[in-house]
Amino acid sequence: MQVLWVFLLALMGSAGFGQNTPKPIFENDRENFSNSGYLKLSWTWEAKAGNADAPIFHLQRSQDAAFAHAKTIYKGPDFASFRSGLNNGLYYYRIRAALPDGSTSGWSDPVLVEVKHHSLALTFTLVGLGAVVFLLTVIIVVQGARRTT
Amino acid sequence: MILLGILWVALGVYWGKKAKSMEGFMLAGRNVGLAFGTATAMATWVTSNTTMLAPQFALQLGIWGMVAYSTAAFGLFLFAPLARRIKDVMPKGYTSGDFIRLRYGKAAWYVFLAISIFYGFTWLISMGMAGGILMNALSGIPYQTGMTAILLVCVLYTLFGGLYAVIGTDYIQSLIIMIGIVIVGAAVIYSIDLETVYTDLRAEKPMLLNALMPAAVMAIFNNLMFGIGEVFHSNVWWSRAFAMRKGVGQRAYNLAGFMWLPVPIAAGFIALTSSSMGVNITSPDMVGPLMAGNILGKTGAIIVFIVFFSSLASSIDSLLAATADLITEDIYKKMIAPNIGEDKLRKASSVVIVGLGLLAWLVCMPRIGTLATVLFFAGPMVASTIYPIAMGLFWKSANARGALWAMLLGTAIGLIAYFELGWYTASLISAAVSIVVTTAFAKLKPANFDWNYLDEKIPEKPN
Repeated sequence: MQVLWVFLLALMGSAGFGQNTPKPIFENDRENFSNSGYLKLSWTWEAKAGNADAPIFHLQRSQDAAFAHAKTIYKGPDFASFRSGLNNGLYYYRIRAALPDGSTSGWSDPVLVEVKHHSLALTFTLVGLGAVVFLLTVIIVVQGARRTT
Repeated sequence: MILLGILWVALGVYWGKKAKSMEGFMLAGRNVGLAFGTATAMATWVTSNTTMLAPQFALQLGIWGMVAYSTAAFGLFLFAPLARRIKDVMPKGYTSGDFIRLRYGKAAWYVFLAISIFYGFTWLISMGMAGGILMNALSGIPYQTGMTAILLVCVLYTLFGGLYAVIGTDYIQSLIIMIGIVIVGAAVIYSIDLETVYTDLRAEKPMLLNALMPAAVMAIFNNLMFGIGEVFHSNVWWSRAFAMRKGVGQRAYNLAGFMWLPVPIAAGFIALTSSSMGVNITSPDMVGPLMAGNILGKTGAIIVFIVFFSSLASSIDSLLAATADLITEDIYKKMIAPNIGEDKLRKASSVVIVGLGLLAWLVCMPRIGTLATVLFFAGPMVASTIYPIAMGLFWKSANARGALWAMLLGTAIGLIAYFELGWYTASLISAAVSIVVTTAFAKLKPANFDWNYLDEKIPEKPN
């Protein structure tokens, strides 16, 4: 009976039930904040001893913690992915590894990214300041050049 | 890479034969004409910062990011009148440090040198890193090997040829860059569907198309002021102003600005196609070469490599030469060995070029941060020098205390903005502080500077 259980477990692993393939681990903090709408996600993964197969990572993003409406945003061998152009909101990411033999790891612990762009009030204040400083710079240079020619 | 490396070094040796005196080595005999003057200004400004950082701007900040990057052309436009003024008031000048020392005295000079050398070194590091990243993205050569190779080639030909070699190679490199960017741009337009790019961006990276993306909008004037600060203070641009024939500088810088203006848009656009092409970007500063290689295939990758290699080399050589001049003239000759002969000074200059290359190589090894974070850290420092330079050249009332406090306060408050708000605000904040402080001191305690003191024939200026 025991032999049968071991056999079944091994079969589940090789069939991709995620029992044996190690999970990738995010290098990012569990909770991240961005006020510019971009960030780099990176992860590590350690192969099981004696297994030299390169994994394919599946990176998913969801706007709900349960990943009910998850979308796979990257499938490939890289250990990082740069994400940009995000709107304000909460974004959850999770990742898993798939090996050429068909086995897959379980999903990693998710990381949360909160995107909250700078306020438009601050933005327009800085734009106004920039316009004034630039205009004054042009005046200093053009007037100075005219006076000294 | 080996062929290009041999070509640049051989040209360095060839042009180096022209540099018979220290003035020839440092300032190309002060006889550079319009064609070479325009080409060297344009090629130097098309650095890794344009070919690699403009795509990074587009990837991080979208449409406004590319526009923000192209505003750096105003650095060249506004420096054009300054170049003429510099040539008029300092016909025998060597470095931007000379100007600050003669105009404002030693305290401001020390601060300026610290800022300028730090900036020059930061720029050098960002380009050494860019060389390694480029090789790695296009050919898989390890980052350390690529970075070492490009630094070695540039150190060698700058060492042999001085500014003659730098300006000569810049001329060829600027032609390669212009032709290459047209080829790459045309290939990109033909191989992708713009409507698909737009649809994918809307779905995946909507903020990149948003006209009110806060960080991107803030970056516009920040990059503008950073570009102006870079050009106004850096000896890279002053040495060219000194090296150009009288009457050439203003036209050369204006032409270079117009030629450079569209380059960041052309180079940056490619980054926006990454979603549509299904290319995963692992580090934002790799997006330019990575996308170009992906879109254009193997042959295209070779063209891209030649263009990027040329843009990197044209800036690394300029920086090596100009920073070495600053250290040799302003620190070694002025502070340590005032009676040194020309031969020994040239040897000292060679040692400084090798030392700078070596130091840059050591710092580049661990690949700290991305290109943007490394370079923009110097933003508040260089932006703080804009008004001490501009007002110092045109206003008799600008004074030493104003220049000193403008640089110190501008840098300090700008760095606070860098950490508290983001790198895309620091240069603007610093420039705003600098203009207020320099103007306030000039109005409240006006100096009455005699321009004749800037000509080094007059021995000492009491400040």
